[in-house]
Amino acid sequence: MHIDHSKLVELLVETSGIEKDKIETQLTELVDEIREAISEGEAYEVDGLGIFSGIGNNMIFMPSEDLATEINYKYVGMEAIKIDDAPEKPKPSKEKKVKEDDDDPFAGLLGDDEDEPQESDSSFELDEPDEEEPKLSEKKIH
Amino acid sequence: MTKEFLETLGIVIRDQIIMKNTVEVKGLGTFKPVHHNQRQEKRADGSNMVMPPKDTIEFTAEHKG
Repeated sequence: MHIDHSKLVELLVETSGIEKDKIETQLTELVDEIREAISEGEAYEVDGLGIFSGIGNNMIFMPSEDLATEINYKYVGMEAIKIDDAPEKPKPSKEKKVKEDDDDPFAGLLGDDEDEPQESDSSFELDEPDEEEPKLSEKKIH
Repeated sequence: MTKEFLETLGIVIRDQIIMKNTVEVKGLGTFKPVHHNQRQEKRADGSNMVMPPKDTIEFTAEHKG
């Protein structure tokens, strides 16, 4: 949201209770004094707000210490943290690797018996059919 | 200028900056809130620091034409 001149005057009247005309007069007076000081190469300090000064043709503003602190009230207690002291991540050792293999729940289930000869269970013996030729009874015909 | 007026001006600008509003003072310039995120910074001695976030005021002077 942008607070323009008329809105600023309105807020100043609400907060201070001073009449609008007097606010506008004093605000104009303040601006003229600041510009005059800067044109003469001097800085102008407004208590509770900060310092206005000029560098070349530019006007710069440095907020007062109180104002700079107050607008950062949300971050009170937060300080710069040095992060170089973080512990190094340990390298995985070979011993650990072996242990991991031991914990493998599928170890030994697949492919571990490849080197061992396997007995073949696939030998089949064919059953020899019992071929009994039918016996013919011989009958003598007299 | 009265002391009461100057105090009130400081309070009003501070409150508006905290509310993330820009404040224009006619004939002088505009005060704008600027937020700086937390950042990592490498210092001259080689150490790494994590800097906390902060808000600052950016002032843009009004140029009379």
